[in-house]
Amino acid sequence: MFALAGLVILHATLSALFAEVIMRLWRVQDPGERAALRWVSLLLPLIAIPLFAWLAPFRSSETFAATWALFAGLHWNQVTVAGAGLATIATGLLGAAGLLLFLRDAWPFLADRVGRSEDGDTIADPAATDRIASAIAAIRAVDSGLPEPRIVLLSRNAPVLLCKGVDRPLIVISRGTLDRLGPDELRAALTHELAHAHYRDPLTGWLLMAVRTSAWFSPATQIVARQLVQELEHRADLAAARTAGPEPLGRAIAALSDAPDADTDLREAVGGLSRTYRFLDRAEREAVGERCDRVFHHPAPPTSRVPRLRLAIAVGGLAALLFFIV
Amino acid sequence: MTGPTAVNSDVARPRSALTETVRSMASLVFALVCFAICLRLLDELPAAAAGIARGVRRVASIEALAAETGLKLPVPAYFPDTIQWPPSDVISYGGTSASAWYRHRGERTTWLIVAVAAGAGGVAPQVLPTAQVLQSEPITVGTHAGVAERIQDADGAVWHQVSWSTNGGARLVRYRGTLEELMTLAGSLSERGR
Repeated sequence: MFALAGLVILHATLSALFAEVIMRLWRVQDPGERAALRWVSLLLPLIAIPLFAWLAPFRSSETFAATWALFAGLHWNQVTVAGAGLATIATGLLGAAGLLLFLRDAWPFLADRVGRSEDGDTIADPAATDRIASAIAAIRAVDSGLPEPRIVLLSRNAPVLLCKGVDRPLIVISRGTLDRLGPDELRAALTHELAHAHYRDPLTGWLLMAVRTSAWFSPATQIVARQLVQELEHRADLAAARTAGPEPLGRAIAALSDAPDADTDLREAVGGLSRTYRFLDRAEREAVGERCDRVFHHPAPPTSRVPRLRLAIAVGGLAALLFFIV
Repeated sequence: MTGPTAVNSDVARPRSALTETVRSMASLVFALVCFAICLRLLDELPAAAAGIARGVRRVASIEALAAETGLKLPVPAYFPDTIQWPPSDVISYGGTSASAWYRHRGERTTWLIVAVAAGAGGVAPQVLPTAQVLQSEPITVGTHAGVAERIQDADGAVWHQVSWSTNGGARLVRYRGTLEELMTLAGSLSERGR
């Protein structure tokens, strides 16, 4: 079991590196394509290991490791420290790191989606509801493909703006958010959330958590999952910038990021920074600025003419590479 | 516009689909080759650090080897007093070849190597120290046809070696003493191993 965990860690790490290299070589900037490649690097290690074991059982032999394999983790156990092989030590250390990364994100995720209820906090405010409804109508007049969500209005003064609902989209918004955003900024912020609903990102969030749970010991899996969330945020940013303009979106991000108790994905910074690192206030501000810059300077990143073909050859190439890593 | 999927990016499509496909394939192959080379080099490192050939694995004992790989390393019934027991090294390669290295009691250097291989391929060179063959002639070990050789190791020391095929495998004994003593050693190896 320990050796299998080591193999998953090895495959996941190489898959993450491979996806990163391919994205740079292919200059993939479209967040949808980047997210697809990150999904490949997340899922392929988990699928390939049992599939290869079933289709090619000879891969587990010492002969394969000694002759055909490009890299065999087992070989690193020939170097020992205090009686333990390096591969075994590395598996233990990386497994512990993976668990920490998993718990860091899994706990807030579950607490946010399962433990918390807004029932006692909801209000009926016709004026606020009209304001939100007219903003959504304006958005859907420009982009009819966006869904019409249910709205939950919260009384709290802290800014809250989230998209929920695996089946039916639900936008949770607080009075604090409405107070901080002007009409254009509200339209941009809501478009961002509607884009999440359109792409069914709340469901993606659950799927990602399932993958992370199945490979809780793999640091690469945990990191790539976070990167994938950033791609989804960027995709929603681009949708908001197209519909409502990049400037209002930037102002909305800035307005909500300034509130210390904000609860919104618009506050998520790029580059993997999270609330855990809030003490690095300057770094977070810079990262929020970077998020806005990305939308300002690359509002329409180039897309591939053959995205599915490229994805298929990336899958084939990575699978071929992983076959020779035991 | 029909939803955020309708990406407004016609401005950024300078290449044809065919060109993009070819370029993507070429860069993928380039990446795969780079990954393969780097991984193979990384895989060489532990063996280099441990002073053994790539793919060679040190095993705790002859018994452990049999338990882990099923390979039975025979021990000569004739075991000179000058050779130290137990073996200083037991190594395995690919699960199909293995050897036990024995030291001289007085000189503390390897004097006897007994190797075994499963299958028709013969003993893998990875489980033996590199040596140059000086002289070779056919012999018989028990009822098996084999080869006796005089070889010189990397330090210039001259050894004798006999190798022969058995049912479903091969055996090899390399010894730093006389050829007569080596033949006695080889002849005393149990067919089943001990």
